[in-house]
Amino acid sequence: MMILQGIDKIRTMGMTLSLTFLMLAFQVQADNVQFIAEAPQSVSVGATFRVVFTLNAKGDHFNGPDFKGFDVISGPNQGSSQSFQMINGNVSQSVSLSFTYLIRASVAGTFEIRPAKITSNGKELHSNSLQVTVSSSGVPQGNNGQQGQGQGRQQRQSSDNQASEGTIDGKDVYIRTIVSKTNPTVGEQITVTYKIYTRVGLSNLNLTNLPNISGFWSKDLLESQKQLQQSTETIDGQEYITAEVRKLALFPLKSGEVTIPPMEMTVVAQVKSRKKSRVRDPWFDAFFNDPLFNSSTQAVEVPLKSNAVTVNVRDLPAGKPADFSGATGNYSLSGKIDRTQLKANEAINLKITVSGTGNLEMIDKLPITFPPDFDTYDPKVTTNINKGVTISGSKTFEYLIIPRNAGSFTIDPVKFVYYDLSESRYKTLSTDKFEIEVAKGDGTQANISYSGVDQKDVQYVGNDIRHIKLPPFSLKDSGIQFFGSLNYLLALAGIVMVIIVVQILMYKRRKALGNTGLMRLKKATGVARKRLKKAGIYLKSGSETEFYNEISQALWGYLSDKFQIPLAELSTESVNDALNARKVNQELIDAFTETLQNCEFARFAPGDKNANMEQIYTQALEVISRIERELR
Amino acid sequence: MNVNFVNRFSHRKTIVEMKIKTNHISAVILTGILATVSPLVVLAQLSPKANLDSATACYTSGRFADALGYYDQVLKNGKESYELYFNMGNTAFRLNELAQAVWFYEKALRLKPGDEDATFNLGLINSRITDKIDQVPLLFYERWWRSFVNLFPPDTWSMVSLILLSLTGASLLLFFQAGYMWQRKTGFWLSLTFGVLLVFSISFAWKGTQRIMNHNEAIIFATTVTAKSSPDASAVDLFVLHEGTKVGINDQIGEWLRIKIANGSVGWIKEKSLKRL
Repeated sequence: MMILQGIDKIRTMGMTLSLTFLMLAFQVQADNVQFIAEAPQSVSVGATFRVVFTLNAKGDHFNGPDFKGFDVISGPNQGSSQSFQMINGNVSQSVSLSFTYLIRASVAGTFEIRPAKITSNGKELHSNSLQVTVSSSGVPQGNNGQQGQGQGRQQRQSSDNQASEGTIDGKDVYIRTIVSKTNPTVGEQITVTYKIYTRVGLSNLNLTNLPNISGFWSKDLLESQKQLQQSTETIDGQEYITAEVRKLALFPLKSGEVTIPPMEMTVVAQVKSRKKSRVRDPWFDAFFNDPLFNSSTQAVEVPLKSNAVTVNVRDLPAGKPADFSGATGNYSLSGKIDRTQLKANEAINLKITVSGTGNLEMIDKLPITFPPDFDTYDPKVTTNINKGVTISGSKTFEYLIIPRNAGSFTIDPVKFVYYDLSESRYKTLSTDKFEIEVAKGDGTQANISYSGVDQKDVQYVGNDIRHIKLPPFSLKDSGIQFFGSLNYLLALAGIVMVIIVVQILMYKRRKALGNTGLMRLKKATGVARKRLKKAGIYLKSGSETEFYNEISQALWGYLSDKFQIPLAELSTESVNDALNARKVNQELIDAFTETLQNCEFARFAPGDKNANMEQIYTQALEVISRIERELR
Repeated sequence: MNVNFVNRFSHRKTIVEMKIKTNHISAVILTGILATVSPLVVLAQLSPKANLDSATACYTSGRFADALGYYDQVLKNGKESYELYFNMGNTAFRLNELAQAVWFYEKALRLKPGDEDATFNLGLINSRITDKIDQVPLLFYERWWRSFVNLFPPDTWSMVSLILLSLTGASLLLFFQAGYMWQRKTGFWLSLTFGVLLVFSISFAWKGTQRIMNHNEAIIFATTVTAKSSPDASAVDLFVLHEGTKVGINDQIGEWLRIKIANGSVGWIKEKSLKRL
């Protein structure tokens, strides 16, 4: 420990002086063997004190007491010293052997320290027994502040009374927890320093309980420091050597009251133990009792505990933006893209850097929307933190993106939202947008596989009206409709007129051409029907000749008109042929010719003509109507 | 060296002079352009075709108000077409004049019923207007009737009817004049079919024309208008309509119109709050 250096120097000086005296000493004095126990009369609970058994002669087989009611921290630590005294030429030598225990009073009450035994020159010696009162009123050692000071004063008084020293009080060495700000907002950095103050030499600083600080994201500010930096401070007129044992940057994670737990450590303090010289010489007394010479120091292990500090963390103000991820401090944002023109399947490197002061490590991935056809990978995150009084540095997100298809793409500006502590408001930073031109890949990339087309539904991303119709397009006069207009009506009437005219013209032309055949055809059935009607009348009146005449004419006439055969050429054969040509049923043809023959037979043959008249009439009617049906 | 320097100097001088000249010329050209650009001054002298071209240029460059002005000029010249109304609808939509846009698209759909683009754009705008009215579902024959009417513009239906009339006449000629029975039969059936189709086509043409000429539908142009139970300002408020909603007009008493909306509700509103189609 560096703290000790100054004190060590003083001690070595003392030693050198003693040795000078040794050179002059020749007489050895050995009388009055004494074995004395020394301890403070009263201590407070938790105090550490020394119990020293001193023998002013050589001895061995030391057997210490059992220290009931106390905790033995260390001991017995054997120490021996020899001193030579020369007074007016008489050289006296004193040898002293000491056994030191470091003891802590753990329970209040009065305890007896039993005598210790030692053998010296073959004699067993017993030390005196001691009474130690342990009072509970005290505050454990290591606490700073008024109480500790008072306690220390009290202790010193008692030790003065007992004429023995060897305790350490709370004013000599203590740790304090120093918090830079007790009401930070969430995410605001506070600095917690555990600082040791000492007026005595210290060694073997040993942290027994590292505070487990929860509710914060912490960063050790002294991590890289191998040695404690010490400095001097004057408190209440006393000069202290101080050192920062531990220094943390804390970023509160949640609001509310959070206690920063105390730190506990043990140190070994170098305590001066002044011995009363037995030689009562005013001059020597004044000389040797001076601390300079009589400061044999002893190591005392002292437990130290710092104070706990409660920090009241304020919440961030309302109105957090949606993208806010908890970053607090003061930042700047930059985005860099290594190239904006490339071929498909080549890689782009996009670097987004957030730099500034604040809880940088809390910054999560920044939300970036890449075009859907891009292959992207998780970013490579590089954090670079400078530990000063405040944590600052930069965090870089490196994105590797590979466009798979050609085209022009835009990566929207990357946004970063944080709470600005100096301006007490949320701030949004954004980079420029990145325009990327991707040309068609040359297909040389080895890792492209054509294992089928990945088909997807068409993605509808927007909604807009369809584009205007481009000229030229036809325009017409407004308010005028073709339907119902004069033109339309005229066209309508015109068409009707044309139809009627054509109809009439065709009719007239046919008549003029004397197309009688057509007329006869149309009239055939009518004429035959008229004749048959007449025949019906003759049948009722019973005039045979007229009846047969009419029937015959009806049948022959019908055929003549229907098939346009002149009457002169009519015969059963020609009728048969004509009907066959029209594909009339043979049975019907037979029925027709039979009717014709029956009629001719009845007409010209004698006999009862009346009997057949009825039959022939129905036959003729039936045959004509059947042929009419067939021919239709 | 020296000569060279002087030469270069004089050369520079001429360049400067030329620049001044070109500046002057370009200033003249600029004023000319400005004159053509400002619509109010020169519009009336432009032909409808030139107006359409300017409007298209304005629309594509995002100057929608100017584009609408040019289109309006064509309308004022007494010309119209489906495309013109469609483009005006687009322009009005770009200017965020939703009621106007609906009116223009409806107009376009009257001239070319069932047009896909106009139907699409109108659907998009109808999803943005305030009023959402559930259509009373039509009966199947009403739907058929409507879809037939919308199959062609009324002018086309009129032409169809003329063609059908001619065909009916021809079929009748066949029926009356054909020599053979089967020809006459064919003539008969054809004339019957064409006759029926003729009646339908005339009906469709009539219906489509009616829709254009009658102006018995309208678009609400007022931001909000309250339909009353009777043609009287103190009458009971029935329902509230917002701009862009299409209404049918049944009756008119003074400035009050009896309107019917798509879900069948009937009320009276003042004529000034709407624009007839």
